[in-house]
Amino acid sequence: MQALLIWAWKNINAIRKALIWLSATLVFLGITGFVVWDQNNIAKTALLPGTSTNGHYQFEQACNTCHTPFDGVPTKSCTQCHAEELKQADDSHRAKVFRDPRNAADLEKINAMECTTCHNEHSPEKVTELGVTIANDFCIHCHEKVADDRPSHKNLKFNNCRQCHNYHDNRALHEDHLEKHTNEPNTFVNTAVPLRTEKQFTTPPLQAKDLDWQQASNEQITQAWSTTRHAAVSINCSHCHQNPSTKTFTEATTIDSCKRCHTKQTEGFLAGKHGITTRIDPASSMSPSDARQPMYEEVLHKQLGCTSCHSDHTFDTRIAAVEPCMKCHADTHTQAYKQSKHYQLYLTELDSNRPTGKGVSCATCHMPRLKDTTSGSDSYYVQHNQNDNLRPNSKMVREVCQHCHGLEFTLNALADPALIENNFQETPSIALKSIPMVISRKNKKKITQTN
Amino acid sequence: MGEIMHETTLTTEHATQQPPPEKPPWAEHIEAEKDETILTGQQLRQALFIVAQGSVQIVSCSGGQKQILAEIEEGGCIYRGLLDTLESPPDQIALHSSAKTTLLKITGLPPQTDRFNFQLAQQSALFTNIPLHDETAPWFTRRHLAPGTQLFAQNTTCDSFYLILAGKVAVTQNIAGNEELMHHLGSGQYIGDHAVINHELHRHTATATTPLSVIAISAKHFTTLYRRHKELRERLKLFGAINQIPGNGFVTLNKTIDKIEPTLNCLYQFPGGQTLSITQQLNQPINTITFDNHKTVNTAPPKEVNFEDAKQLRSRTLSLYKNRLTSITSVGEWEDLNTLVLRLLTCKKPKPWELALFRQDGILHPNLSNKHAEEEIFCKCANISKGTLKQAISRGHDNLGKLADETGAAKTCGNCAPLLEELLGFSHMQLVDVASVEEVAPNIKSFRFHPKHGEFPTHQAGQHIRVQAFIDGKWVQRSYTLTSPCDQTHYYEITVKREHNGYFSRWLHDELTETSIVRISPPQGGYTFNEAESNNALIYLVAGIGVTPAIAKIRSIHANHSDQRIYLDYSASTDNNFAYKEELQKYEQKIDHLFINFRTTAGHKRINQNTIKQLIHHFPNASYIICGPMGYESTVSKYLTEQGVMNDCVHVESFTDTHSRQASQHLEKENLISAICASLALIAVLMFCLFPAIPTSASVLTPIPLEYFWTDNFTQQVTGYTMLGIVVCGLVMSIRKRIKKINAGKFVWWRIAHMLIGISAITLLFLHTGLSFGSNLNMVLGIGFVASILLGATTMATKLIDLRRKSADKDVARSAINIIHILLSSALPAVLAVHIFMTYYF
Repeated sequence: MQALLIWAWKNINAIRKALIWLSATLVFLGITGFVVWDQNNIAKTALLPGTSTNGHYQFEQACNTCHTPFDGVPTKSCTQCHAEELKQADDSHRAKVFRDPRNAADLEKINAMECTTCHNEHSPEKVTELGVTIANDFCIHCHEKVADDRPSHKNLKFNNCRQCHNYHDNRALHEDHLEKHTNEPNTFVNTAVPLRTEKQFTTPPLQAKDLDWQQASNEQITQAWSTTRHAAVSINCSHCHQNPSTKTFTEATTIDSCKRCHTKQTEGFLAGKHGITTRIDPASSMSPSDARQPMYEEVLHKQLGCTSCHSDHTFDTRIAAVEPCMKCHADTHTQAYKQSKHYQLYLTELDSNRPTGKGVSCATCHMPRLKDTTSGSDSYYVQHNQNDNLRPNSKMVREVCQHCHGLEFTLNALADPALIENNFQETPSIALKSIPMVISRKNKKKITQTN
Repeated sequence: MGEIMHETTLTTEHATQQPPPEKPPWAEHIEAEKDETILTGQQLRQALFIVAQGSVQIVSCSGGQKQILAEIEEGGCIYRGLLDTLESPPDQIALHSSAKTTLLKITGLPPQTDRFNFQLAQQSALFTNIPLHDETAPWFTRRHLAPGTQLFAQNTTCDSFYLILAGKVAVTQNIAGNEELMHHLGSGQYIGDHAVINHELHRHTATATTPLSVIAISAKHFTTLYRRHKELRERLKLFGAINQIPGNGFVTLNKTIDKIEPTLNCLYQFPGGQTLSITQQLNQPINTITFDNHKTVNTAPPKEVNFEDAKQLRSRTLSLYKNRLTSITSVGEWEDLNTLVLRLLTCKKPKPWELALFRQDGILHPNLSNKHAEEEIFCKCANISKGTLKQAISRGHDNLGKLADETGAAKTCGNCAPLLEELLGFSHMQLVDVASVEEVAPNIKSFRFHPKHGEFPTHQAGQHIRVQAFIDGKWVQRSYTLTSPCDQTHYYEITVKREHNGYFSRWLHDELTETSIVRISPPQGGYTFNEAESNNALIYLVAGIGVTPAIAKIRSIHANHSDQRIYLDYSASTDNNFAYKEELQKYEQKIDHLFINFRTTAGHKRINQNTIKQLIHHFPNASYIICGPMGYESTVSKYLTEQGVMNDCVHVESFTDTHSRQASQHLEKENLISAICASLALIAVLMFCLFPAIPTSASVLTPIPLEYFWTDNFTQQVTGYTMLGIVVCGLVMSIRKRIKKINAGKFVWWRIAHMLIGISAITLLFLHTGLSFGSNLNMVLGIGFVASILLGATTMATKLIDLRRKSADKDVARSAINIIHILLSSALPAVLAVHIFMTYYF
């Protein structure tokens, strides 16, 4: 032992050197091991070259959602979520347009076949509205001579096209649509948004005695449940509170249990910012603390799910329309809502016994009632993707605003940022030229026709 | 070793060699039984007491606690100086008998008489056994100072060594504007040794706090004593080690008797009450060092670890108390003993392996050959390490000249000469007074130095001295030929041309004053023809400032009335530029065998082959000394060879100083390029730090210039891989530096290439990123890259500044920056690899 000690002490320099190498190797192995194991994607986060846009940041650590190894970001990564939306919007710049050989020259100037030409992620310093990362006068590449056809556009600058036009979704601004809705009043008399279509069930409603997990319930829960349509359509405890593998009671419910009946609603929720986190990783969910918009501090710890807005066991859709939104969102638009006429109308609707479609809640605009085109019936469902009609906001025109307001008034209002901020308490201060332009062109056409 | 037995040497010999003295008429007996308080403080101070029989203790009785301050045995004496060192108020001191005691109270002889003081000086611990000559010797002066007067001030030249006879001295040091008390010194202690031996300025200010009486020994004499007496050297070395211990304690020295052997005791008391005592037996190599820390109350006997080496008669003992080192005893030589003092003070527990090694080899730390120290480069011009120099010394090159000739060190800029001298073990530089400065021609001045003490040695014409000056806190030195006559011992004169780029010559010309601190070496080197040849003529072919050896020679023959025939051919650009022209003309008239030809090269009267032919004709068998600029020297030696003059008869004088000029001029170009490179790199880095990322262009039709480089995939790959390639090239310099076998090309050019690579890399980085680093890994890579270039450029910039200032000092901060530069640069490839992988993967 003594001899060993002395030997070590005499060769301390060599031992030190060996130790340094050993520890360097261990550190290297440790880092490698960590990267391989890395469950929380810490290493992947470290590789992020920059944060993503508002629409994508929630799943920026799930690289493979968009990136294919050694193949960058193919267009199909984008279309896997956005294809349906573009199809509905009747995308005016779809890839097919550019496959036309006549447009090959334009394609030389800007590769409009690839989403990433204009939408680049991870470079936050470049991002402008709608996630565009190139200079906003890009229309000039192909529409340089627009004034030849439309003399009214003669002196317009190319950096402001987006005030009236959108690259992908032009439904609300389509010339025919504008033409059809000229000279409309600001607000129509006696109008309403469509009401939800409620399915009719023939099964007898369940009673308190029918609960399959009586012992897990209490009077309050039973009372709340028994007044809902869940009770009326035979939805028992086990429908939501059953662990699928053990078939035993579980207090935590999953989004799947809702999805079984509310498929469209759940899909909508998962496509929007409220649910996209859960969609990418079913084990996690969005929290106000992850939001980029202003949220109240006291709710930052909460997690978003169906029951965040639809309070469990009562599931009152009227309550879900305003109060849950106002609990979290702290922006001025939300805060100004209760001073708006829309809110007054909503209060009036609440006072009446049955829904009238005349009130304007948060949900009226942001979760509009849409016609279900897939089922073939004339039923209306609630779009639970609250982002669906927001970017550009002219998407909201046909779905929501035009139910009650004239088109010109609507377009002017949505183009006025101050008005949006105070939640439409005044009349628009901006007057877009779109409709006057359409009218003047219509008149010219008439003149040429009569000639 | 808890108590130190004080016993002044004044009576030691008396006591040990003779029986206790009979009662002399001027003394009175005081007798006391055991455990009796004999006298109190004030009484003690009034007379000198000698312990004639028994032993006494000096105790302090503050606050009812009795503390033994000193124990004095038979033959010891108690005097005022001793009491002063005890640092206890006089009224609290009492003398206590520890046995049946007889004291001699001496009042008849005033305690502070000169005779007494001189004996004290002579027999002070420091000077024991060293014969000090007559007390009336001229080097010895006694000074009395009133309280509050300064003995010497900080940063003044040290001309004396002081031994304190009576009174106290406060030693203070000016630290950052504040005068801080370092320690107090009392009788028997000394000050000024360090400065005298090392030819340094005083580091402290010494002020008398009581009426002070000191013996001042002139620096010169003390140095002689120091050189002559090994004992004195060793003692100062031992005490020096202790004096440097931080903590503002104070040292007491006493010679005592321990185990019937004369012993030197050194007691260092710390403000915290700890004491360190070093006991050295004077006749035997026995040392005991004990540290008494109040925290270690010695209730249990200490554990002892022994080492014995019977063959070499060494034995060492470590005493450990609670595993902490408290005492070291050594019999026989122990080289590292002084370093162990610090170990004692820090109270660190010796590690088991240290103790194991001690039991086996008698040392605590293995004697690992300190490779780094050996590899330390002393001569930066010729890249010569300490190890090489040490080997040369061991081969017998034992003076600076021989060492320089053998290794080539100190031959270029001469900055390392002091280091070499230190290595050789002795510095023979001496401080001189600047006596006069005289302009002898435009840009040429002569400087006269007077010795501080005595006279200079004589020299031979053509010899040079090294002149050191304290400039900007550093010693800088150059060699200059002496121009004073050979037998002039009252002053030395040098004649120096102001070089535009010369750091030292500019300082001499512009900043030297009478208060400047200058020291010089003895005359050395120089070529002198021997006496046998003196019948033949001596021909000086000189140009410009190369005239200096000729001046010395001519002045010497004038002073000696020598009959040496001398011909001087002196070239200068214009008539005004001849130094000492009038003086030389005067000599020419006075001396028959001196011929001088002043040659103005501006008038196209350059020396040519005809001149040489005529010289050879007139002065057959003459010896030639050529001195001048490089071109002149080579041309003239060529002419001489062509005319058949034997090489033996030709001496080309060359100066280390001219070498230095050439060397620095030679590197001027490289340094300029390096400076430009470093500045460019710094500007590039600054650009990265100051400017924000270049924004996306506002219009698709008018892109920002160069934007294509950092937005296009293809160009990004081009710039990226070029950068990678360039960085790999940059690392090649590292290989050149580390692998000794590869030494193609000058290192300075390698370094310039390395810097150019850095600059191109950062330019490419600009094109690659557009000043935007992104976040996370990319940002780390970008910042690391820029930081690495910044650190590299900083290293180079500081190095160039130092070169400009001709500082040979090792800059710790610079080495640190360089190390970080290297570490950072070696870490970058890994991050870069991940970056490249990531780019293709995603």
